[in-house]
Amino acid sequence: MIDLLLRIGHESFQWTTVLIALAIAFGVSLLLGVLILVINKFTQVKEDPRIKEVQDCLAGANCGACGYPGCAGFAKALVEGTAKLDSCGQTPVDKRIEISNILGIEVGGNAEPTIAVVSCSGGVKCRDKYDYQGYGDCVSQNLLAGGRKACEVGCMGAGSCVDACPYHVIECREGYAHIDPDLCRSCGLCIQTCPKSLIKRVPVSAKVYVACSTQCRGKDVTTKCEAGCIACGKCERNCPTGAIHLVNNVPMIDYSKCIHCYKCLEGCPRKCIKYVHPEDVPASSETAEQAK
Amino acid sequence: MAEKTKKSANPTLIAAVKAVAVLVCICVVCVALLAVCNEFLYIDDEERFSRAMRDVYSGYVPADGFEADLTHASAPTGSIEKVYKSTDGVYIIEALGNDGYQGGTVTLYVLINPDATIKSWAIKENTLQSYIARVPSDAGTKWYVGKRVDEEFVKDMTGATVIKTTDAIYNAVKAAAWYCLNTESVKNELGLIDKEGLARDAVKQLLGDGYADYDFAPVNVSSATVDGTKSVADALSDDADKLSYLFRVSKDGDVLFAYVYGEETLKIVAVKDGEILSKSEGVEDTDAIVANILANRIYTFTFGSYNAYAIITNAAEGVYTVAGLKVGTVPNTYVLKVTIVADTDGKGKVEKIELTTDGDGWEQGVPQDNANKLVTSLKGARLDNIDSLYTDNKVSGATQSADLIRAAVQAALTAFDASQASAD
Amino acid sequence: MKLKRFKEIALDGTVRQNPTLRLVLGTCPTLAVTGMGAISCLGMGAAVIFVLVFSNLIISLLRNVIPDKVRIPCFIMIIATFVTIVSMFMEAYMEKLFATLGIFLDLIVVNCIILGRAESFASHNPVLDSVCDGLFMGIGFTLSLTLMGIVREILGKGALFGVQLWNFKIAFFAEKAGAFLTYALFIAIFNVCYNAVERKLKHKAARNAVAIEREAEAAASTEAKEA
Repeated sequence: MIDLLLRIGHESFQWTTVLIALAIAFGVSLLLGVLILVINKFTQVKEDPRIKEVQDCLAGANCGACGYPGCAGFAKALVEGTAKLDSCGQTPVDKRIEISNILGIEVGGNAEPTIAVVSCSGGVKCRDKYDYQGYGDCVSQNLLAGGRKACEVGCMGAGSCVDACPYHVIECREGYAHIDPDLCRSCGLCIQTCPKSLIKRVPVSAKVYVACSTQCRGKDVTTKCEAGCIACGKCERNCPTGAIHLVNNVPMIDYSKCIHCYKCLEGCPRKCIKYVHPEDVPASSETAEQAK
Repeated sequence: MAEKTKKSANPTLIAAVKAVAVLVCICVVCVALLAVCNEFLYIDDEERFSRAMRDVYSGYVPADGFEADLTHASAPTGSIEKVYKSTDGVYIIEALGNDGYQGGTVTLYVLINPDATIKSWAIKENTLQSYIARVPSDAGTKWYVGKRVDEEFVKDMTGATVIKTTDAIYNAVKAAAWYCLNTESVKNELGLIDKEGLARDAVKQLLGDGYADYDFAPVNVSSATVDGTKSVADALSDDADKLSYLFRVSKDGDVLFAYVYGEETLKIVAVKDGEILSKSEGVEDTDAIVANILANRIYTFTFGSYNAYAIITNAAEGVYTVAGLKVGTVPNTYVLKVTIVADTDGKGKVEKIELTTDGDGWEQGVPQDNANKLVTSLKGARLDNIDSLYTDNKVSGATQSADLIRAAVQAALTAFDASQASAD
Repeated sequence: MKLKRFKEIALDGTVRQNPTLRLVLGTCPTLAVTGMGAISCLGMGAAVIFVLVFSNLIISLLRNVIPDKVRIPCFIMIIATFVTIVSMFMEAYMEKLFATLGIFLDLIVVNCIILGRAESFASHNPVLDSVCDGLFMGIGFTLSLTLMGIVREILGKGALFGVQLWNFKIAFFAEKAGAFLTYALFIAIFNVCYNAVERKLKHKAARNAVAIEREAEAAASTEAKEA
């Protein structure tokens, strides 16, 4: 080994080979560099500079809920005019306005940011049609006679939405899915995934939501689920502003009219209207049941 | 318009030049670095050779004044790059073998012992053999080792899952062997010259066209010993004219013998039925062989379809040292000491027979017990009753060897009777 | 460089973005070298670490100089230089390892890991970060390669680091199909564990962040009340 090192300064250090190698390297790299540039001139693709500007305004989460490949793809589609700004639930309002200015399009849609809530609280309180033992989640279970729940729109609690959520804010407890309202970014992937379409968007400022989606009423509901809405209409009568109405036996809240009085929640005999934020639940034991 | 394009062209041109400049700079610097490293780390042929020798042949000492003869460097299966020789006579041939994986080659150092057997080999380098690492590391000391260079090697693939690479290795070894067989100096050194072939050709030439289609069969005279030390050849000739080959030339019952002796020039004597048929140049009657021939010491016997030959190498006071030689499937030579005394009617009678062996241990065709039995039974034999005595005790399964023993005894008896007759 | 950043880079290289098991880059040497024995894996890993560290270093140093259009030829040139240096060094001082690795040593030039890290990290990150990234990516590669090599050697040859342990061998694992199977199993097992751990950690971290925010808000509101 030492004899190899001793070649430093030895006569065998051939300058000629080194120089030849350098000359070849110089020549070849020059040639190839010029070749690259020449071809580049002919094949250059011009990209609209607005795409970059729009992309910088977007939330940059790359969640894919808009249906385009990442924020870059969405920006490109927006510039091309094939995408709607509404598709992205995460971009804050000021950025949306900026984008609409750059592109000269309307902002449209909801101005207020939203979060997702699961419109079902049956879970273990809802009877099972059959005992499902098998692989997979809600989507695959739904293929088998609409899932194991007696209620056609009951949450199966098997976690398809849990897997879909890129922010890991959904959890299945007591047999049905709970979305953490503080962490939800309203990307909408869980909404797309739920086979029962149970997940809905409510404004961030919402304090109550309807935790049932069944269009059945009365005894039909009580035989299936303890927490299901029987469409008694009490909430509609109690609401001072007329914000809540029964539509097809499903209570719907118009959040622009809601004044956060909680009368609908307190009056509900079935306790199927719930607080959005668990910390809003009063400490008293009676209303503690309203907690998630 | 012209102004506009000019304005926009400049920055792109500068950018382009910068790009090329950076690329060229990086390439040149990298290559410079590599060239410098290469100077330090390059392994040249010398280094490779000494590494291989370190692994395979640590006793290598280059022979003084050895110059490789590379006239036959292009073998059918590869080529020879270099040849080295060690002071103890070992040849190291750097052989390239073709037909490897992907058409590549393997270069080996093939080491050949002075006795023309393969000592070992080591891989120097290869081209395109991606799985050369699968050749077992001890293959160089196992495959083909000990095989003589003129033998047909069998491809030895035990333990390797690389077929094509092994092909290339096989080709390299074959190329080295071919080199040895075709280069005169090496051939001589390793003892690869087919001396017997040369002798045979010389005999054919002497005898002429009349004997061109005869069968030339060699008789074993050099390894058979008389008294355990002297070979039959030694007994029939002296150092100056050492008998090297004895051929039995025959066809359809017509038989003659050709004795080949001499070192520098081959001297040949052809004998038929005890008479000298022809002699090559330089043969003198005083040559030991010729004298022995003229003294009628060689006998031929026919038993059934076999011929057996006996040569009396020594005759003194009734004790005949006879070598029973045979051409054919039994290459052995039986050397007997037959003591013959005169019977009441003056004919020779066998009194004692001693069997000697040629070399260490009994390796004749006849098992020793049976040979001893045969020998004992031939005691008291005379020329007129040796037939019956022999047939009763012939050893089955080793007929030809037994025939040889009998031939030897019969020769001694014949010689005795002949000498008695001439004495009278 | 901050300790946090260092930890991030270190974890990324070895676990979170392990080039073999998470990014699935450089599969060619993985499949081939794991079959040659655990020692060869270590040797290969060492070579890759050397090339990664130095090429990341140089590329990071030159990241503002190399124009975008010719970046690929420049990167490859730099990587090839270091691979050649490693190869020459190994041939001179570690002949056996060099002979065993053979062509795969030269193939490090086009190993996706090295070009991938050069492209995605070294070309827009500071020097020290890039060097650490190269080092830990190399360590991650070496670890995963060695583990797979050990498994394949024990199962396929009944040996460990060249020492024969027993005669029981399942030849399948020493073959090419076994390489694929072992690799697939490693990726599967690693990712299942990784996803499970990641989910728990992320949820916990998110909840902690919210709790901290809430406390800050509460503190601010009580301050406001007092004021």
